Amino acid sequence: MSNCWYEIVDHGKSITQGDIIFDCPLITWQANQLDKHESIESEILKNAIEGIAADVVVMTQACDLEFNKVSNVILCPHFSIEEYRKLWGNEMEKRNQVVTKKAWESHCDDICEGFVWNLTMLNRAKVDELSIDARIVDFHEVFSVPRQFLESLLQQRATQRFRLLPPYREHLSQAFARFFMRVGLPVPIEKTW
Amino acid sequence: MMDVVEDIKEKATTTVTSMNIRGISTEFIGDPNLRQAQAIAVVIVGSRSETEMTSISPHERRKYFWGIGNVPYSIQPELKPLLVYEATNEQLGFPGDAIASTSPWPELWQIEGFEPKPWRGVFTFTHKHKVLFSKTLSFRITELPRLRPHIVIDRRTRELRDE
Repeated sequence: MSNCWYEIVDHGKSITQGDIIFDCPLITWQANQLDKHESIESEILKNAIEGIAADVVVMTQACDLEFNKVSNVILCPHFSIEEYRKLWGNEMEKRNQVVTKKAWESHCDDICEGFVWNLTMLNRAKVDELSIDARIVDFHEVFSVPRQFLESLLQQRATQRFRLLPPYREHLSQAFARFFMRVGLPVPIEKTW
Repeated sequence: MMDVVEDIKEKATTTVTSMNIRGISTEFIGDPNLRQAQAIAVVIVGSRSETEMTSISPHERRKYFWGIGNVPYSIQPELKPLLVYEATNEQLGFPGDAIASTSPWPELWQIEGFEPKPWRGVFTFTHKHKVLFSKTLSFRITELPRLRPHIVIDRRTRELRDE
């Protein structure tokens, strides 16, 4: 099992891009509550705030964190490959697609090769006594938490964490950038070959 | 179960495609709409004997079977065409029997046209995060403080100013 994707860092180390944080508390809005079109503007977000826990990876640029340029940290959620396989299967069935082993393997290959814009895969690894399964990062959801809160949380937990090493960290960052910068053409290139 | 069978029989009379089990008709595989929709419901219709195998008559009572695992979720009224194949009782066996050896599906699934199309681009899926708490937040937007820009003056900014 390859271990060159990650290093293990102690809780006291400052956060940086590529840090893997499990069960991170986050604030989000309940989408179903936002459907209510109240007449009074002040009521729109009533009952909508929700605290959730998710496994996340730090997406903020390492230099912005190192030089204290930002007070909030950008995070994206990730899922274990087993969990994602179930979610993928459910989604495929909803779309009346046949769920086969070959289709799953083909989908994973597509994620690894960058054909699925919003997803990227992180390798599994075992470093010292700690192991991490392959993870699927989803760029469709982006969370922001105060840096102070995140560092305080990690201090409080006092546990070691996985940190992506270069160039795998930059590979993640590039996938995130590609997702945001993508441009869909209304008229595709006419095939002349 | 009988209701389902009757329902399928009724639908089968509307879009009937017959197939001789010895020479599998795969014409429908060439239909890109059916292939890409991946929603081909298949009903195997049993004749009494091999000699009686003919095109399916809508008015004739026959046995109806369908494969386990591959297609049942597609057998719903709002979904896609039903393709009806004819096979003999000997070839089909009975519900609960191991019919895979005589089912046309093993041969049909070997055809590459059945592979689902790849979901390249963006793949959205539904998932639920663990909820820690929910809270009521009531405020007037007009009374909220405006976000102030966070000004960062770094070396590059200073260099530009000095020029």
